[in-house]
Amino acid sequence: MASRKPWRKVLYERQPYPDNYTDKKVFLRDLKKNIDFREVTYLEAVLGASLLLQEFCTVVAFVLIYFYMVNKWVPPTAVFQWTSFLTVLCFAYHLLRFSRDVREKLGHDLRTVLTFVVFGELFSPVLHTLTDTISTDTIHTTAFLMMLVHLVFFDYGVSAAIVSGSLSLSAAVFASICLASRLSSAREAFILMTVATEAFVLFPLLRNDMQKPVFITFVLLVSDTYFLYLIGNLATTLFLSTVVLVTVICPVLFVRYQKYKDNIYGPWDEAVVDDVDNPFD
Amino acid sequence: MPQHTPAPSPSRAVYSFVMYLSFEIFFILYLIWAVVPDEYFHLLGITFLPQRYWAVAAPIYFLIVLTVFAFVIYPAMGKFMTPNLDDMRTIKDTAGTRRNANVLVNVDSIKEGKCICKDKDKCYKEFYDSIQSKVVNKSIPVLKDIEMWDVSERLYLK
Repeated sequence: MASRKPWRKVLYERQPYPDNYTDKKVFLRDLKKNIDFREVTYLEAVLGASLLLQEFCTVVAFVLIYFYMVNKWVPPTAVFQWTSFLTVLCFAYHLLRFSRDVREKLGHDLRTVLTFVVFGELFSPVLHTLTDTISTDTIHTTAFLMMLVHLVFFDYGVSAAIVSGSLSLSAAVFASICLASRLSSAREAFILMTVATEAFVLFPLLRNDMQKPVFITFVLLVSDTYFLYLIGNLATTLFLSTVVLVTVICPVLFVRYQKYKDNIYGPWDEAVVDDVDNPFD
Repeated sequence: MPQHTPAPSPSRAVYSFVMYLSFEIFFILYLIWAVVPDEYFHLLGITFLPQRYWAVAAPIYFLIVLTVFAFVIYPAMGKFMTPNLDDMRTIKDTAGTRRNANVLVNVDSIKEGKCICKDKDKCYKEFYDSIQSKVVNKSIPVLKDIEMWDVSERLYLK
């Protein structure tokens, strides 16, 4: 068969080969594997997991504050004073460290705080009685599920389709409104809503600007463990095993399973059209 | 949406790994809840689990809904939406019979219109304006239905 023309991978020419013919030399020549694969080290995996741990610890801290308030182990005024003090401290730090136009931002933020306080005080009786008729078990289950939704859709800084900041925030606010109805007075409900705003709106903003603050995670972790230990052993065990699962077991598995990665690329891939206006999107 | 491509990317790898692990853990927890007797949970102080009736009932409900949708509701919807074989809609529709389908674009209206590009450096409007007449003359006509009688004539009368 030396007289035959060499086979070419084109459709516009009539060639003396059957339709399903593929040349052995050309077959899968364009196949590529793991093009932009970069091995993640264990430290990077743990740092990534610590972002999840941070948000998880924030949620646990919020629920702890609710738990201590509902059992009257701590006076609500003390909660309000302490969280407000911490918030003002962090706000001042954020203002001096990350803001350019301090005066304008201060004025703007003070207005926002005033709006929040006025409307919060006005509507706290409504929020307090909104889910009053629902049984406590249902309230706790709903709060648990909403916090789960909050953790799943939270923006951890990885671009993915599932990330949705608004859904995450609404879920957290819904959970806190549910929990607020179990407290004994409208004022306590207002305090819990304030804490929710601080924990789920302002705190992520601060952490975003501080770039992976590991010590915050550590402080949260220790204080959560301490206050859980005062409640009981079961909660502490569950919390600590979750922490170990998130920060030790999952990163180890992730790093280990990387060797099974086998992405194939080739001319059969779908073409990707870049947006003219945002080429780096 | 950051995604335009179905190809693998690092963020997808992370999220799919998380999904894989969490479903694995969820399955193990489900099995423990469904199989281990209640007394062991009470010993540990866990008294707030739902009845174990739901460990069997919920999957069965889910499977029944899935079966009804896959084998009854979706095929029925497809049947309802398909016109009869002798319906005119199987031969003609509005997409292929638009009037003036062959006339491409009115060149003048493009030249007068304003550009909507955000980045002026990447705007190709000027370039396309300059070659517009060439494009109109040489381009392949827009897709369009051939009239039924033309098809019949060509197929059966020649």
